[in-house]
Amino acid sequence: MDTSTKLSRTLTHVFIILFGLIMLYPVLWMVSSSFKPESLIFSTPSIFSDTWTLENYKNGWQVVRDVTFGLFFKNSFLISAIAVVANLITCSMAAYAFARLRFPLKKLWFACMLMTIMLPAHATLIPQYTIFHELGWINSILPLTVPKLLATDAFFIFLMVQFFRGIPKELDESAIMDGCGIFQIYTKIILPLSVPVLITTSIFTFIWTWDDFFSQILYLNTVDQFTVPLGLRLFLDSQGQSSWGSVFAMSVISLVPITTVFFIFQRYIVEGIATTGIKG
Amino acid sequence: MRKTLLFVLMLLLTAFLVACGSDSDDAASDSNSESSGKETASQDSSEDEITLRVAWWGGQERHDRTLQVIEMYEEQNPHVTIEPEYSGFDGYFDKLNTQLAAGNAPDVIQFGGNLNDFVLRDVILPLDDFVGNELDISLHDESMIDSATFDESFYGVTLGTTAWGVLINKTLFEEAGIAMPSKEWTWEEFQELTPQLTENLDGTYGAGDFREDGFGVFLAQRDKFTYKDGEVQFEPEDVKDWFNLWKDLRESGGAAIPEVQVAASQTPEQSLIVQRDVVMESIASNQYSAYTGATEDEFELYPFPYNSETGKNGISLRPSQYFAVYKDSPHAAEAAKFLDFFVNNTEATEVLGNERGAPVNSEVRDNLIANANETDAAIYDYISLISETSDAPFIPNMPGYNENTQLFTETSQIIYYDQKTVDQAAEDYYEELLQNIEKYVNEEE
Repeated sequence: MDTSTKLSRTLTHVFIILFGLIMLYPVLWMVSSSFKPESLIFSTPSIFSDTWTLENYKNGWQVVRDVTFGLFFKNSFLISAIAVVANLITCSMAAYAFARLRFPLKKLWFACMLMTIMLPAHATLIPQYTIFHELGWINSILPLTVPKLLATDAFFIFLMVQFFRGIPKELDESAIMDGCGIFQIYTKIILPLSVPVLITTSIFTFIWTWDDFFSQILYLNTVDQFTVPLGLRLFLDSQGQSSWGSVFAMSVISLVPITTVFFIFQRYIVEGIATTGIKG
Repeated sequence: MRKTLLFVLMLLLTAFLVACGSDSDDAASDSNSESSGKETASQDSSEDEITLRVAWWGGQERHDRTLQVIEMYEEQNPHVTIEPEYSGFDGYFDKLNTQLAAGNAPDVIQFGGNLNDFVLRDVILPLDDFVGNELDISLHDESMIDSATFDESFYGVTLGTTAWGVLINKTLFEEAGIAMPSKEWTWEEFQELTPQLTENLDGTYGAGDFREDGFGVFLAQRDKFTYKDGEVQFEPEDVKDWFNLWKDLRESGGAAIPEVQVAASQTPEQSLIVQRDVVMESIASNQYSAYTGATEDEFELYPFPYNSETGKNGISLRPSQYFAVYKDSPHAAEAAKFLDFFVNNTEATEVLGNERGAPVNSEVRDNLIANANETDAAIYDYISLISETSDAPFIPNMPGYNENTQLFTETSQIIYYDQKTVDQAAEDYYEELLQNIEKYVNEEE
């Protein structure tokens, strides 16, 4: 009895570990390739190699001229940080309004907001670009950050509305009894009770902004403004010579911040999504 | 009461937006040259400080070399500041299309074989006014000038010439114990050689599918052309012959099986020939160094097998990329001067080397051949061989290039998996191709 449960447990674990390794293989391959000499990456695609080198990291870091990959990290961090802070403040305010306040045509505005989630990004692309061009914001981080100050990420608003609706109204009422106004209910009651969903929002905003390629290449023209995803593509020319070694090396480095964020906050992600799901 | 509040809020928001706009305009005027450039141009058009925006895609090597040339140009022309806008290939044209739609495109833009599509859309400036003045093209290959000439106007300078060829893995030939063919080989020899290679090598096939590029050469060997003088110049019969040729090759074991072929990547580093899945593959000569750099095997570039009936090899010189000038560029003449420097200046072309293909200016090319390294020498040799033996005119891409290439690939795959007979698939291809072309040509009118 005892041995058979032990056996089945061991078997389960062996299976899970093997399966995990299979899932991890592409990442492991990338890490190992980043340490291989460029000419061996595709000709000997095995994970294990006889020759190891740091050449790719050196070449990759020194992108062109005086531009290093460090600059791309700085730019990416700046944009992501602004996006996270802005989304936290403005999306939670908008969500609070939808969840708690009463104002005319509320249902219509809510539907409009949901519709922006469904609107394909390509449909709004050119008008948006034209607006930013007229404002003279092209080739700066403004088009990538200012919209976040206006609660444009409807997905997060929706997520928060669901969460806020689950917070008992009685708490608001007792706060009103104690003399709280609308804004104080927001800061003193709603926000402190919503930490899981706020963390979920921060993590996803960070990851999505960090990984975003298209809007960044659209609005950033010169290399000194480039972010990590653009920097990685700088090495790739599908028709000519690509420096795959450098791409892999820099990809490994650019995975570090994002995995760190994920591992530190992962239990909150689950909590945030689970609680919004149940109560919503 | 509520409504007034809402109105005030809206006003505030608008004010905020406007404030942001003008703020950043001031702040950006030194970094965002585009707006400041336009202002100076309208105020004073003499030898004033101007800024040229130059856009290209490429890999690290191309960025390094192009930037170096830009620095040289700025040194010699102190009144010009060049703002380089470079990126990888991903997203390059998406971005360009958006910029064109918003009227914010760079002054000098790199194009590939799709230059004609952009000329049709009327976003490129004809350079005729500058030819002979700012821009000298007297030593450029005639066929390359033709390739950038549409409706008798000249639209772009060729940054490099290439030619299609068959890349052969010499090391694998040795391993198979088979002698290399002569450079004047025929399709019959090719059909004989490839099954032998497959048989003598373990897990390697004689040849990978030569794709649409090979089909173009195959047609030219029969004095027929994909698209010339505004019409399709081949028949469904030719399509059938081409696909039958490859079907026979697969059946004889000479060509890679569909499973291998479908998984193939166009990227040199991941291509079948570098992976040792096949011994021969068709490539453009400017890709040669990318292929040789990705492996330790020894490669050699061959012309396509000759058509034994017509005795033609059907290969022509081709432009790899162009620099063209944006139609609404405020500094068109300065842009033309930069183009001239880029392709005609000896020092500049020495820096650029073969990265975009062999130089278009014959004098400059001779200068480069004299001091080339081994890989580049192999490419120049091949280009010289082709310019001596070439018996076909340059054929520009068909209108709607991307869509038609996709159609060709799909047709190949339908045939790989026997979803249609070769005859049926070829006829369907031909019909759809004509429709596509008609669609694109009508759009232009």
